[in-house]
Amino acid sequence: MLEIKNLKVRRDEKEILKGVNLSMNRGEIHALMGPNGSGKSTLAASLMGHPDIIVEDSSEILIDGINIKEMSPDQRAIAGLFLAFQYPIEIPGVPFLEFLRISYNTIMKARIGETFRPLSPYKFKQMAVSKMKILKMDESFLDRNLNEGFSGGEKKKAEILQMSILEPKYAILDETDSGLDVSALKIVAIGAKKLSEEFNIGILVITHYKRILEYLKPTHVHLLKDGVIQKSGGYELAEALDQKGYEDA
Amino acid sequence: MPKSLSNQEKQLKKSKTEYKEGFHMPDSSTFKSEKGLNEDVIRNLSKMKDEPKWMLDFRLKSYELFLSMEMPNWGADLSGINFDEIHYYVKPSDKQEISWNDVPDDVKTTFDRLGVPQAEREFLSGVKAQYDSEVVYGSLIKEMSEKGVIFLGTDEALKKYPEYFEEYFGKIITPADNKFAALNSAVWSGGSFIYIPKGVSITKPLQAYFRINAANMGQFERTLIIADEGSYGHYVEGCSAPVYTSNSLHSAVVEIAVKKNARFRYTTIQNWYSNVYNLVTKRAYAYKDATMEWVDGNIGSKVTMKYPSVYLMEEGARGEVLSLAFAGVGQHQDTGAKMVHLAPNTSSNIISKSISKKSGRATYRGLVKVVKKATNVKSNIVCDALLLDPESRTDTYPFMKIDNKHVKIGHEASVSRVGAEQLFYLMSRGLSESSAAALIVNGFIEPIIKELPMEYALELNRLIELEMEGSVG
Amino acid sequence: MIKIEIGKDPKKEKIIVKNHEDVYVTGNNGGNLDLEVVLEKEGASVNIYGIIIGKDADSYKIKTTSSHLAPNTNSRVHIKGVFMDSSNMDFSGMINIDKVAQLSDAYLKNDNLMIGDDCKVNSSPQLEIKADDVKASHGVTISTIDDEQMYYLMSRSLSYKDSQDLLVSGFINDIVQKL
Repeated sequence: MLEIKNLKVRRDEKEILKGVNLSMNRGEIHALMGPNGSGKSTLAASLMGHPDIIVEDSSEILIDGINIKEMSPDQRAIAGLFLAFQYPIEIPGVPFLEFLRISYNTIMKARIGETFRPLSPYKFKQMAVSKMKILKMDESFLDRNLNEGFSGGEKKKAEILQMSILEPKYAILDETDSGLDVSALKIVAIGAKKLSEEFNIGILVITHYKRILEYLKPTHVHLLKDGVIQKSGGYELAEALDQKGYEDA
Repeated sequence: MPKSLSNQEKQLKKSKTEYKEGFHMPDSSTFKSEKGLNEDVIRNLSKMKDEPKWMLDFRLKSYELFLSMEMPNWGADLSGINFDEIHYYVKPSDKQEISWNDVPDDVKTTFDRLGVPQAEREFLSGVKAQYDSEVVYGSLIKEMSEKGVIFLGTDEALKKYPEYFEEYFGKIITPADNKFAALNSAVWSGGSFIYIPKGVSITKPLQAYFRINAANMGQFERTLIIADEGSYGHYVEGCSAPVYTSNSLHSAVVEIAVKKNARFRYTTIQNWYSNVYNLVTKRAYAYKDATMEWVDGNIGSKVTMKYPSVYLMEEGARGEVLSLAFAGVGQHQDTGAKMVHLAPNTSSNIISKSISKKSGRATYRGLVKVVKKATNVKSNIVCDALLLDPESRTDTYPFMKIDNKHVKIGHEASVSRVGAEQLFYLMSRGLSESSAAALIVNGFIEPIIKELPMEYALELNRLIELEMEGSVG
Repeated sequence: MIKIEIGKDPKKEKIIVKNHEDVYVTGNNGGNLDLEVVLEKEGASVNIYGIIIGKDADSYKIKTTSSHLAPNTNSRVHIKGVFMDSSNMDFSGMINIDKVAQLSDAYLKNDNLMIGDDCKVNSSPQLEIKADDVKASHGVTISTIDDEQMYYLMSRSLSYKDSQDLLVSGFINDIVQKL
């Protein structure tokens, strides 16, 4: 279970989250919606351990009972958390394939221990290519530099590809739908849903719009407003918010 | 220089039989030069080497120039050089061997981390003065001698191929060029001589490393390279493993002539220990439709001042410099490039990447000059500097002097640091902070790393990772 | 806005910026200018725009220095030069960021159009950076009028001179707009 207890955070000396409570089991799909500036992306960044975000002492973030609040982002990744960035960062000069392989070997070695046998570069590439096919991502991306010159849609697909390779326990999709055209959105959303089923991943999808939720079909929907979760419900809440907006929700 | 076929054949024969000798230092009685420099030291040096009179005259004239010239009033701080404390000539076979105990710990650690073979460690750290590489590289020697390629120590080459020396030596870089070229011209010893015959391509890089003997790591090496028409060659010197030496001044001169339609690349990876002043003058003349490429990696030394240059002498000539500098604690890398366009339809390209860490300072100094008759010139310069922490420093001093309007000149420079967002992203994928920083830094220098022979690229990447540990957080 | 006109008498100006300044530099007859802008208060910012026109035997020696002495300061220098006949310019543009000036952002650009057969341009944009959490960049371009563009305009029946004038005014237009 991913447990967020009384999460209060500050960024640039402003209090953004004022006591967020949320729990999610593996294999579940939760949606987090809310107006601009409500702190959705800050929540995602806090969970992953962004250095600029200060988390209050009284807050707790637990993955399967282990408090990850003091862990650095790499330790959280090893613990099984994945964040699909809203704006994936470009790293010049670092080939995408190389990066995927280092990330995979590092995380798997840390999780499995000494018995872990890294895949040969050739086998790893085969594995990556087969996963890319599912996301309709061209193999040529592997030779390009990480996110450099990738279109918005390609960057988002690359995020989901990383999720499929790193097999997390819990994944946060931070506005993965923004900037995607209709067909890319479908591929990404269905891809994420399949991964959730295959690896029993608990997904927290952060979004403004209902469309991605039509594919992901979350069982739990939360409204983040004024720094706290004001309302929670089932899928019908998403429909209500989509129709009426956030004002009188 | 026009050479009849029979002369070339004669040379081929000569080089085949006498090739091996290039690897042995001439026998001698014990000679140890005292500290400091004067005419007697130079006369003795020249006599030991049994040089022709013109070379002795050249040395003495250069010495006069050295005395009369001022230290440069720009560039790095050279006040630490004490000319009177330096031994200007030590016979390589007399070189003091130190004990392994005296080798600094940080040098030993780097050897371990880079996986440098034991025999090489002993040589690089001065524990052994000689490195016998004939056995390892015998087949390469054979291949080259069959093609007529001449690859000898400069001392030997002066004796065997004086005609090349008379034509080129001291002409591309005259002793009057700068004070350190004058010094080198007076006391030079060791270095490499390469002649590639017309139309010959050397497929594997020639490595000074494999011709290792103490003379190559000498203080005042003098290298002369001639790539004859239509030839191709690649010369690699240095290594990314640290070189520990008690010699505090390294002042080399490299002259290269790239003739019509020829292509030559000269790659250097320098990692002198942190006590060395590394002041080098490197220049190539590129003739009609010829291409000269300098790949210059500066990792070590206390101070390096080096600006590889290409003079584009005739139409169609092309020059390129890829420069990489790493300035760590207490280091000043003052490096760059010079491109002088003396003919129409020439082009040049400079890419400089520098990384500064802790109190390190990386300075780019460059010149692109286009003379009035050099019409239709293209030149592009990119300098990027990466600062790893608040104590590191970088400067950029590029000069463009353009006297012809038919040009396309572009210059861009930027300074940045390892971004917090980039670090966060990579760490969120499981990489530790120092692994993430190393990956970012390796990506930053990738345009230059990809031009290096594979073993060097791998070693350099590992070296960067080693340097990155403890540089973040 | 501070206007500086480069004239016969060499000018040396030092401007201390506490909030924001826009400086506009023009040159029409040659001359010397040494302009230093010092950003000594946190948050200060400056824009320096310049149009340098060289004709006949006009000779320019221009030096600009942007000194960042406080955190969060911002400088932007953009100088464009057009050189005809046998005019010439020696330009040096320094960006200096002090150790304490973290989070500063500095930019310098020098674009030059060489038109005269005997004109000369020397340009040296320089950086001295002692703080790491900053953005600093510079660029220089030197070229002549684009043949393709001239051909296009002339094929639309503009005379050689009119085509040239149009391209020159297009070249300096973005700076003119800042006035």
